[in-house]
Amino acid sequence: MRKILFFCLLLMNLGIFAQEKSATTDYVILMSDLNMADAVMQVATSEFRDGHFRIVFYGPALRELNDDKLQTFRDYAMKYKVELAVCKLSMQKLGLKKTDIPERMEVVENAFTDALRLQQKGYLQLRL
Amino acid sequence: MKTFISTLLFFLVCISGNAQVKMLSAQTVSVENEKTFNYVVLTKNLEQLPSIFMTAKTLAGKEKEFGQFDLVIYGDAVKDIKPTEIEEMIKNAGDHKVNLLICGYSLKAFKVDSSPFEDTVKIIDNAVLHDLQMQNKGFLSLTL
Repeated sequence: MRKILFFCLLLMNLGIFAQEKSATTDYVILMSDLNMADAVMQVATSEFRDGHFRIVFYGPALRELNDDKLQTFRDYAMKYKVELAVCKLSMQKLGLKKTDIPERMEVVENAFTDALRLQQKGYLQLRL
Repeated sequence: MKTFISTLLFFLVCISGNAQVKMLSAQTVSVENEKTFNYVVLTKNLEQLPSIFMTAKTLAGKEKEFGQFDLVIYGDAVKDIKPTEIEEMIKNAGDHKVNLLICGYSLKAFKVDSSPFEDTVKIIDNAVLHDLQMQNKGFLSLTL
């Protein structure tokens, strides 16, 4: 019994160390300026990134998401598990349909609400 | 003897666990006590510089805990930086407690020759990375 207790406590101690070492940071980027798309992807694919990385597009930038010049960006997003989402409010304002948006991009009701919800969960946020 | 050793180990494990928890909470308290307010601002509009400088000076004057204020010029705004005005811009920034930085990625993306700035202003690799790194350190961030 004592041995079991001892090992349980030992595991708890190891747990404290594990918690300290496994702390990661998650990021959400609100993006309306595609000029910085490659700069963002550079960060998302670097050693700096250690948690979730989500990019939410909003505003007129949505019209350019299917452009060929963003092909590498989309490929890297898939390879490095970068979550891509688009703002439904912006889509409606620009008259865009789901078919106008690249596949595998999540549609969220409102980009700002999405970012604020994630900030509440501890995500760091940046708007570009 | 076995019972004695296992009891001893049991207490040692308990004590070390407690000590770790106390060390963690002590670290948290000391960080809170030594708290300073640091800021990182990203702008792609040079017309906003005067108001950003004023903001930094006001914060520096009012806050005892004022630490660092990084201002990063990024995006297409790097095209508008005039080499003849950069020294005055840096002097202005310094007078207002602002650490002026320029995004190297944007300089490359917009094909701006960085040689006139290299000796006078710090060029960072990537404004996005800088902002997130600073946020990770506890800086308050604002993008304009």
